Amino acid sequence: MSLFALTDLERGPGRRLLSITQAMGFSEAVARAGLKAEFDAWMAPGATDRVLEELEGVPSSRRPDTVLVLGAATLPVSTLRAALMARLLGARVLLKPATGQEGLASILAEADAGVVPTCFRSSDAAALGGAMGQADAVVVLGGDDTLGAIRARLSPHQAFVGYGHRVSAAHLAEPSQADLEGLAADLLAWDGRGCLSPQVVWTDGDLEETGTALVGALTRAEVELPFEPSPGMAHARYVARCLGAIGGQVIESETAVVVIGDSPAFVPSPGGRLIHVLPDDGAPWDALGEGLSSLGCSEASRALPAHGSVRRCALGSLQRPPLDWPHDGRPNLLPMLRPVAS
Amino acid sequence: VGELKEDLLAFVRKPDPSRFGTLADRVLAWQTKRVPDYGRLVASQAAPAGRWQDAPLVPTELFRHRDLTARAPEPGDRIFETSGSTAGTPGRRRVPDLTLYDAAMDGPFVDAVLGGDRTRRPWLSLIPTAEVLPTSSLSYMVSSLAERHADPGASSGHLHPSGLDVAGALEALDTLQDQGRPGLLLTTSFALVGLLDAWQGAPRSLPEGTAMMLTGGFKGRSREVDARELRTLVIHRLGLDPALVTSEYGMTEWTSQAYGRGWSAPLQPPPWLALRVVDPHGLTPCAPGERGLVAAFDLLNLHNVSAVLTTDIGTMDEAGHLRLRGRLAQAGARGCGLTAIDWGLQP
Repeated sequence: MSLFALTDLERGPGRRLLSITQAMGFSEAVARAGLKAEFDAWMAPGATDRVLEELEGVPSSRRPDTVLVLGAATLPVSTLRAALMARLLGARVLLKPATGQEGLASILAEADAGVVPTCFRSSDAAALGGAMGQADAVVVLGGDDTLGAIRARLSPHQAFVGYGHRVSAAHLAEPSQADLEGLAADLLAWDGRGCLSPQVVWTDGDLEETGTALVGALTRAEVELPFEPSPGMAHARYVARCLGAIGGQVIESETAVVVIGDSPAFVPSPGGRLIHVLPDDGAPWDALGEGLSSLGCSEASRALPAHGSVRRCALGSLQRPPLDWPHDGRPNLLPMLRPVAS
Repeated sequence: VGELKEDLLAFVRKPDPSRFGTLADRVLAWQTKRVPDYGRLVASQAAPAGRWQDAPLVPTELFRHRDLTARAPEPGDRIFETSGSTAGTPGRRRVPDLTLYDAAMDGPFVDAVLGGDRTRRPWLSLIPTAEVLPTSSLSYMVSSLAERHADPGASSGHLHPSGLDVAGALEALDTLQDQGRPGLLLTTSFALVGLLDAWQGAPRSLPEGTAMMLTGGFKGRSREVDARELRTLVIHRLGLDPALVTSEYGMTEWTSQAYGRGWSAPLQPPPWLALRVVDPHGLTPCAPGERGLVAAFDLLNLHNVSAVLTTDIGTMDEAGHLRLRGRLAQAGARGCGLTAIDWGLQP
């Protein structure tokens, strides 16, 4: 696996990775920050060793020769991490990125000969079948329907790893300035797109004060992280803003929207740096069950998600999961191993 | 509301464009006071909206979440729903009083679709009747207009809950052709393509003067046929004069309809419907020819909200005529054409 060529965002495949990320609608600053955070996770001392510890005692015969990774149209780092995890396992990776992100596959292939771009239209069942036929394991990022459809086509000899859509949130109790700045960073990272972006923040403090303080932190942070929503995102934000104004209160910074509601029930955000501030009536996050991916918590927070798969982390690190984070509560490598014959 | 409604009805009977602004301001003030959710939205604005041009636009998506009606629900209220099966929860508009609806639909339809000719004629419809689909505003409109303008003994509908009745539609086309009387076809784009795809027989040549009202797009759910191909199909398979094909543009969230007479003609709203094209970022008006979202102020939406923001992309020309250019990306597919999909018209 050769990651170094990608980490240099000034030249070669790293530069092209930056460009293609910007082409997905991110400003250069946001794209740089997001990619750097991901590479930091990979380059952290001992990070890959900790992931590889999963394989202790596993016979090498169970390692897949070929893994097919089917990416989703979310963040490039999601597809990147899935592909690189398979490479860490030593497998050849057939990478089929989401439609419109085909360049991502060729950039990874340029950096690492073990990645093979496998691009076809998502509706091309024959091409999909051909790619699946070559794989010992199939990793899919996408909606539940997609996961189910792919899984149904696999043989018992093939491993399946599906990462579906989940949401993330935050909890503020007696937030310090650092907590608020961390939450602002979490919201601005990747412009609020992706499963690790906080959509809701629950607080046991005063809602309006919390919202105002958050907008203050956002205002300071967004100077370095510009954002120009697409027309579709601008509209989705307007819809959420109207609903927020009808049901509560809306406070805005230059690029972010904070909607204050009076019910603790989770409200989905369209992304685009829009977050809901809601009252904490006693672990409202648990209503999301395993649909909650990560809960960022202020230092004074005692929030402890009941579901074991939920990642509890400090604010500011929601969008920076460590490499050995059990994605969706599962190990990173073991699910890709060849199934044991029963 | 009685006086305001009467003034609106008078405007419909005798439109005076110079009075639109005054009436619109009155409607806005009334809705701000009487539609609680809209009042809150208006109150959230940095500057209070006194003029209709400054009224906060209600995105059509809000009709999926809120009951934007000026009166508490009553048993006789009419409920219209969008057919947005791809967008999850349908949009829902409760109409406590259909008087304005009934009064306003006739004139623009007769002028645009029937060319001003009120003679009853055979109708062939691929739009379900209101009896079959009571929650469809399009079905309500077509059924109401049929009572007034269709020849009841020579008219028929061919889209049912069981699907498209291709054989029945072809038989009706043959009858129309044999009788030699000009008729009227009413259809969504999707249902029309469904019929043309299912029927591979000899082309028909419908009597001269036969017109067509075409509404709705393909909603991203069907074999999409571009305007040029559809025009060719209509001319060669049905023998229709494209000058007599009229586009209808309406939606569940509006009371009024705009029409474009002649193939690909720009849409013209009636005097009580103000259409604008706005930039999706700041909702400021776009310059003529510039693409943006279609926004409306429908005077006759009295009991709901008049200032509505759609997810349709359009351009407005200098004369105030609208051309639709598609739908906003990522916006959920919705609209009347989906009824045909739901009923088994899969491509």
